[in-house]
Amino acid sequence: MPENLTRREFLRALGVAGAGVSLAAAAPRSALAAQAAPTPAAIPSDNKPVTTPPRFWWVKGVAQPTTEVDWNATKRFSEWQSARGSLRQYRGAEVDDRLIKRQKENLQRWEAENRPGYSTKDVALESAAGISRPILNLRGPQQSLTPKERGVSRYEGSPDDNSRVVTAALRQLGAAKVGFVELKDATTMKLIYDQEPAPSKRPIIFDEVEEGGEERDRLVIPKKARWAVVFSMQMSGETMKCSPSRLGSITTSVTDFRMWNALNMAHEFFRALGWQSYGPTEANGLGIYPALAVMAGLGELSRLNRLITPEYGPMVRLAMLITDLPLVPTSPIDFGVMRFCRDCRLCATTCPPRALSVERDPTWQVKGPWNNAGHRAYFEDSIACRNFWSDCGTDCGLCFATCPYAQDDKASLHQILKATISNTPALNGLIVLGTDLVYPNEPDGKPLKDPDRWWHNTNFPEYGINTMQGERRT
Amino acid sequence: MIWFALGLILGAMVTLVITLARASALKVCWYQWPLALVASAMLLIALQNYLACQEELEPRLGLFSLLVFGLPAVVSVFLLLVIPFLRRSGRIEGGERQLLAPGVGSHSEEVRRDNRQRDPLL
Repeated sequence: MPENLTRREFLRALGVAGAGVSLAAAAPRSALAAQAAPTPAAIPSDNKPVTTPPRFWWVKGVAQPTTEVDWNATKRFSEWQSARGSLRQYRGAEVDDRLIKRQKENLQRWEAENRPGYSTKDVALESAAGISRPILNLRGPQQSLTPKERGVSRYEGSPDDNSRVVTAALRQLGAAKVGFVELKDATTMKLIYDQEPAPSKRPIIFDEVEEGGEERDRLVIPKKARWAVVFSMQMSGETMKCSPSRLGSITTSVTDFRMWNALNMAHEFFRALGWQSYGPTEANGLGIYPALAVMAGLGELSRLNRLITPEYGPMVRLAMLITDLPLVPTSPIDFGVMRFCRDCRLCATTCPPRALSVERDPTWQVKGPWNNAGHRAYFEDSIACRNFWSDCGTDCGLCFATCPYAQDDKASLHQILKATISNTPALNGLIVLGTDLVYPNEPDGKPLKDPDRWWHNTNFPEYGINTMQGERRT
Repeated sequence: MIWFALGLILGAMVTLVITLARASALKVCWYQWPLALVASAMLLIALQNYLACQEELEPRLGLFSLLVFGLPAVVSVFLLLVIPFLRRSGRIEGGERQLLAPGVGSHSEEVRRDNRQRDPLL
């Protein structure tokens, strides 16, 4: 201690040290990841609750989605027309038989060879993850007692209240992000499929009825049910980075299992509230989920031709149901993804069959009858993609894993980059360069991470996901 | 816990710098304060990113973060330390004035008075 230290100087120094301690106490996991505090105007009063959880400050709500849509050219599509529904028709019976045979032979050989990602333990986990998917019905399980059956009035609330309640409920049931779309005949209604998937292909009809249901030759949804509830569910990025392999594909199956359970529980929630809900009868069976998710503000469309979200990147699966409970629509968002995808191209250059578009700009021109026209997108060659699935033996997912947005959010660098991409597109080229330096990917079809090494992660969070990702604050 | 410890260390270091600066009459120019602030911030960000990337099982990104944030921090610290040294050795302007506490050394009263006028910490 210097001899000439005065009391004043000592107290000043103490104050500085205290500032350091305060900084330590205030330092979050990621100093720049904290969402902006709500302004006084946005703080809810008793009469005006906030409808959706706050997003990151660099996520902007917009009136029109960043994907250009020509609603006049958009028509209701059928799921069975997609590559998923009509693969055999699109690639021909002979090619289909040959690729299925080759896939089977490859899988058997690779398991015998103990190939990483295809070994017996990987097969066992894949089998476990894909078992016992819940049955889906248009109205859900319909097991809960309705308010009428309980002898009480149904739940009534303002659209704001309803949106808040539904969001809170779905979050508890496992949803990552929840959004709402009002279905309008001239626009968003066209994103609902006109038929359910094969083999039944029953038409999905909106009719002036009090209550809808499954009929022998059609599915009926009342016109008054015009709010789509779209929700996402996280996949495990760490597991997906072991794709393409049987191990990498399990996160798809596990998330599907969780999602269909959440969907059925959501049906029961609406039923017990006293309101109607209508959902898919098959997986991906009710509407174009990425499109609806874009309109609901869950994320933006991308070069993947799938959704990229601010919180989880592309590592989500999507589900939806339609209800007659009045809700407040959530607006589309802009956080710079479509602009970034123009420069990035990482997914497209990494794709082994070159199925993804490498063009700089999205186009109105579809690649084949498996795409629905009417919007400007990076349409992919879905048949080339699915053919590669036969080569690698399972769902690929390499494009998802390689996306720069497919990251956790513990490091503040992710928030810095995402905020920069959203606000300063001039630096996108530099960010892409940095990504290439850190993750130089080759289109060799090899997983980004070693599947054998994955089995050493005994301290993984449940389902391989971080449910605190996105930093929600109510 | 690590952030609490870092905060304590940071606070202690700042206190030490200020105390030493006043005790030993080390002249601290105005631009050294923002330089020190930038260096501290970059070092903290580099450390946070490196440790967080290890948690995320992305070691390569962690090393990249060390380079991107750590290198500017090291450069800032280097400048921070070199500038006073160059000033004292007289290689840059102002170096011919000996920066000593009042009454220390064999310098004239005029120089000491001049130093006290220039440096409010003395």
